[in-house]
Amino acid sequence: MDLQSILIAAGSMGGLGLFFAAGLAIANKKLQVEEDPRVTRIMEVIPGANCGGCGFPGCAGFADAVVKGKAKADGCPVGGADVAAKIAAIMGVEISGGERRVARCMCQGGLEEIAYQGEYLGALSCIAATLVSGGKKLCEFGCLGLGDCAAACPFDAIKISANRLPVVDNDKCTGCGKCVDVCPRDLMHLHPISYKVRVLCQNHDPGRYATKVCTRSCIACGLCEKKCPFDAIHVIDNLAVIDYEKCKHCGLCATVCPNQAIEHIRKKKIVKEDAAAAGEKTAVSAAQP
Amino acid sequence: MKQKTAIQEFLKGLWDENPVLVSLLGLCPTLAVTVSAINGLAMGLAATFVLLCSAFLVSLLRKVIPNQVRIAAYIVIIATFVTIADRFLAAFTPDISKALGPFIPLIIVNCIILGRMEAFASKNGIGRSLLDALGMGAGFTLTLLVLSSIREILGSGTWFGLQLMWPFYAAWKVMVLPPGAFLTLGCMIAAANWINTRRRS
Amino acid sequence: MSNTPKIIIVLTLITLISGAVLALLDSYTRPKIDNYRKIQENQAIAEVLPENDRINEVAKDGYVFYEAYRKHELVGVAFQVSGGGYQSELVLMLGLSPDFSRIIGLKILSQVETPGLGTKIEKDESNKEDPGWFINQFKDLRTLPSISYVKNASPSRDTEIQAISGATVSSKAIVDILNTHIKKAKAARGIE
Repeated sequence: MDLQSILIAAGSMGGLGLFFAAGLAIANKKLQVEEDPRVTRIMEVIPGANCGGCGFPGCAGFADAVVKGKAKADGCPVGGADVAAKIAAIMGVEISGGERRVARCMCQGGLEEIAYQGEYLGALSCIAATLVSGGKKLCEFGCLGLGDCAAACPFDAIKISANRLPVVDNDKCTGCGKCVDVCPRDLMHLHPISYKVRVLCQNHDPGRYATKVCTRSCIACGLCEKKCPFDAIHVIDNLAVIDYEKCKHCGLCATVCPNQAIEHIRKKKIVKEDAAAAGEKTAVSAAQP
Repeated sequence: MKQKTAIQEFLKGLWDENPVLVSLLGLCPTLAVTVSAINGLAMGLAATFVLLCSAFLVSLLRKVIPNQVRIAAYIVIIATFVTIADRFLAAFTPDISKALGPFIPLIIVNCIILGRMEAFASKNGIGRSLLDALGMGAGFTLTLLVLSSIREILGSGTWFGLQLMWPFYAAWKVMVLPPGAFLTLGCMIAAANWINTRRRS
Repeated sequence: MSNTPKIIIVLTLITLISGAVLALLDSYTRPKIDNYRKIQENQAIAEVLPENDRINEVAKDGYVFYEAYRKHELVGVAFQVSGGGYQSELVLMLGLSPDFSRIIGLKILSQVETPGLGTKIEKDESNKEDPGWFINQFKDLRTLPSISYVKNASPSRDTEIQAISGATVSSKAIVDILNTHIKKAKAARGIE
């Protein structure tokens, strides 16, 4: 083949390339303003598997949401802590100041504490139990103990204890929020890991009912409210609620609660319970169907 | 994420991230050309060739190609190598080229290749990209070879054109027809998932 | 951003190099491919025409007629015809007697029909003695008034062939291609 036809081929391809490149360059210039350069930088640090685990349509959607403030820097469940740190660095200090959050079940009504309404023989799923009768426990607000949260956890961080309550392993929990979404009673809450004091009850019934269904319920007595030196805990709609803006995590409220519905992490008892639960988890997971 | 060793980088394409059985990419050639083992093998090797060459170039140029035109650049690179493969097949193995028909040119838009360029070669060094391409190509080729062997043996009673089944074997014609491709692929994916589940538990 | 020139330069260079590489590739492979095609075609022409001492190439109305002469007498005409099969284009080499009333030979140049079914038009592996039985049926077949096919029965007339069971569409496609092209080619050559 002679030189001429090579030149024709190269020339026509090159011409096409030049034409399209010019078009793309112009489009790039004209349409460029809208995108925040941080989106591209976040795209570079996240894994890029488009798995959708964050709840956004693909990695680009997530990066966009982070920049727009709709997603947290640690919202990528696959990337884990280092990716969260990198995103936080890109987004600037204010979000990197945001603490690692972990899930916690806001109910202490296990098999021993709760009163029963009958036997539940249906499918072993909290959602199924909610649909038929609300399970066997009498409390309408409490944990059903059938482990939808544990099944939903992508990181194996939730175990159901022998007392049939979810126990979160803080080391494994990434704060992805899958358990929060799946719990039919909205009992899984994400809290910064430094929070020491929590009201572990969601029962809005008046005290005289609440006290019947569970030995660890909040009976809206108001003792905590009176005890708190910082005006940080209030009984709202028959339930003690902590205002974390004011709370200093002193744990005085926990000392006065008659039903020990308030958890204070320094309390030895809770630590022991967690440890006991952790010890039992192999036995329980084997027993689970 | 933990950096994979060179061996792992290669092996992941064979099983854990097998482009066909796990990612379900490149199904068009997978389903269409696998009527005989030789076709499956040829398609797999052609795709591997394109994958390797493109991975090398894309990885080499990854810092030069601006982000805005990367897809256009990758497609041109891939298309060039596909044309090379197509012309070489036509020149040296005309029968295979005829049998694969339009599916060789279609490698250009095979998701496996563009996907690996976008997800891997554009972010990693030449060595790793080549290993990744080799692994993915080998995974694709092996899967196609198994799929096409099953279809050819059951559907025509032959393997690479050799009479394999007993003389009066009634060939399952459906296996060489399009439904056979879906049936076989479905069974293979089911088997792969079953093995994975067993291995995990 | 100031990477506009970079975008243009990089993409243009890549396409430029690609074009040059492909042109070189073409110059290297084209003779081989053409050569192969020519060999196939010549083989096919030789197969579908009777014994001859000279072949004359005449192009007319979109057909290329290969006229076979023996001692200056026209003994047969071959030309390439094509049409849609069941799932691919069928390309055939057809050899006819000078007055187009009789098929001398038919050869399939290219087909990608269903393996094991449609491919029997070229080679039927289930028939050990005569794998090419289908295509051989066209030898000495009469073309007037038109060729037809019968299913699951032996042909009774000299313009009939037996279709392949399970590949009627492919069989019919060949018959159709022949009928249309023989008519058209006749007009092109001015044969009544």
